[in-house]
Amino acid sequence: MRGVVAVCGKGGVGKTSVSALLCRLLSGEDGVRGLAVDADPSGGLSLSLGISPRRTVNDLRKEVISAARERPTDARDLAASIDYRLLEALGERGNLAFLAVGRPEEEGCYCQVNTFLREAIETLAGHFDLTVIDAEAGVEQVNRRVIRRVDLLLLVSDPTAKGVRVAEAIKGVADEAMLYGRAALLINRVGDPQAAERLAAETPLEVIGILPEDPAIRDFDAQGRSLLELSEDSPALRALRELIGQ
Amino acid sequence: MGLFDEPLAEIAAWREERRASGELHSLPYDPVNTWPVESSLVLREDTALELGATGRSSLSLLLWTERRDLVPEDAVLLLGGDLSPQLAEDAAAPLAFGQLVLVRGRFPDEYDAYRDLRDVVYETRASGVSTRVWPDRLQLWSRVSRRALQEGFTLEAYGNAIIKRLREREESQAAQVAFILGRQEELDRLRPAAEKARDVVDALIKMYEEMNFDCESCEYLEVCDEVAELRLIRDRLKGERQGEAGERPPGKEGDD
Repeated sequence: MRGVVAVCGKGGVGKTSVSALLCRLLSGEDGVRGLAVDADPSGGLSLSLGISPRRTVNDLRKEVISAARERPTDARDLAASIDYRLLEALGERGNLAFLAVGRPEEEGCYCQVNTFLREAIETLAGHFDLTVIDAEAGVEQVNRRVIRRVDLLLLVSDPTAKGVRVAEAIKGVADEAMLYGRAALLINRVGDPQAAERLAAETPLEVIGILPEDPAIRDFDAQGRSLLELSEDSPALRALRELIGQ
Repeated sequence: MGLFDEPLAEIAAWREERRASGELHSLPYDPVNTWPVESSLVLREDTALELGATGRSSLSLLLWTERRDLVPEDAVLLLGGDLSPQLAEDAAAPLAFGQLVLVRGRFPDEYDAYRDLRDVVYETRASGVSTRVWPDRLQLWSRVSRRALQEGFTLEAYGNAIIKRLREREESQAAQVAFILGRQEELDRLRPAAEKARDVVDALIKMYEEMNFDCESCEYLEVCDEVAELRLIRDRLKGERQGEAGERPPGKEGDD
């Protein structure tokens, strides 16, 4: 699996766990590099991976604006300093790098800085085999603050009609607000496969697969352990591996 | 008098001093011994050597002049030796690192020269090496991958690659790239000259980017007072702006 995946969905459906599981699959692969981007201001992906960001993109943004006020700078030098700071801000664990976007910016228009930051993230992502973006429900933030085009918009839902309806709504927004190659629904935390299949049959979304409820993930979350340490026997991990294989 | 002649003279004095003491090795430019150029990102787990990075442990500088005595010939200058797999085994922490790029040539427009030469340096990224610069802090940070080092990456080859690209520019007549490796005291010695040069660049950027000619309120007044070349550029730009705005040139008021 290569490219950029944005993982979106209603709050509480397990999109952060799915993002972390994708990273877990990558972390065991030789010669493959992954970039995990936490675009959710609550910062859950950092905890799920057990990788702390050194600084967030929003911290960088504030530093860059402050520095530009202190010294004159031109566009190319500004972009160079953003590249430097972005690399410095990366958390790393083996073949996996981690970047936290942080809280949305405060009032004020700094279009040039925002554009440079997004371009720097896009360039950074180009150095990795797979970039996984854990997005908040609003995909507009991904488009505006992280990256303009994703290869796969992975819409995550729990096995409820409400979760699926929100996923459909997110795709509707994405159709208007961002560029993507493919959008697909992943039904997560499934205890009753037949109920999940009924939901899958009713939605106009392409359904990419179903992940079973996995007590190990719940336990890891409860204990604050990194999902990168999740056993290969984890049913959800195995199911995700099979999906990627397909 | 060129924009950077004062800091360049200080650097040239340092260069000759270190050359005389045998610490600085001057290697003639060799256009064949270079290194492939490609943007790379090296993660920590693939890093053999980390150079420069935070605070005062790095120094990155680009200066140009018309004076032959300040940049006499094409050369890669090494102080502190070159990279090697053995050095990577011995170095437990990031090494202090400096990169000085000195160019001689005739550049009709100083700001164009800054942008063009800087772009050449920024874009000459060695394959298998992550290099990032933070221009207003004069900082430089490189991660050299194990693979690049095993395949023979050296500062000499990288310096040659930079010179090769600089010399492709019609205006350039000679270029030197000096690398300072693991010698913090040398970076400290050169920093005042580098900061002086940075102030000149800042004043140049301010003039061109901000178009503000209210010298009395400008924080770079002292820099412009010291560097005659900056005053000439300012006067030329001021005349151009007034011409563009359809204003009369200074001293012509009330002529008719």
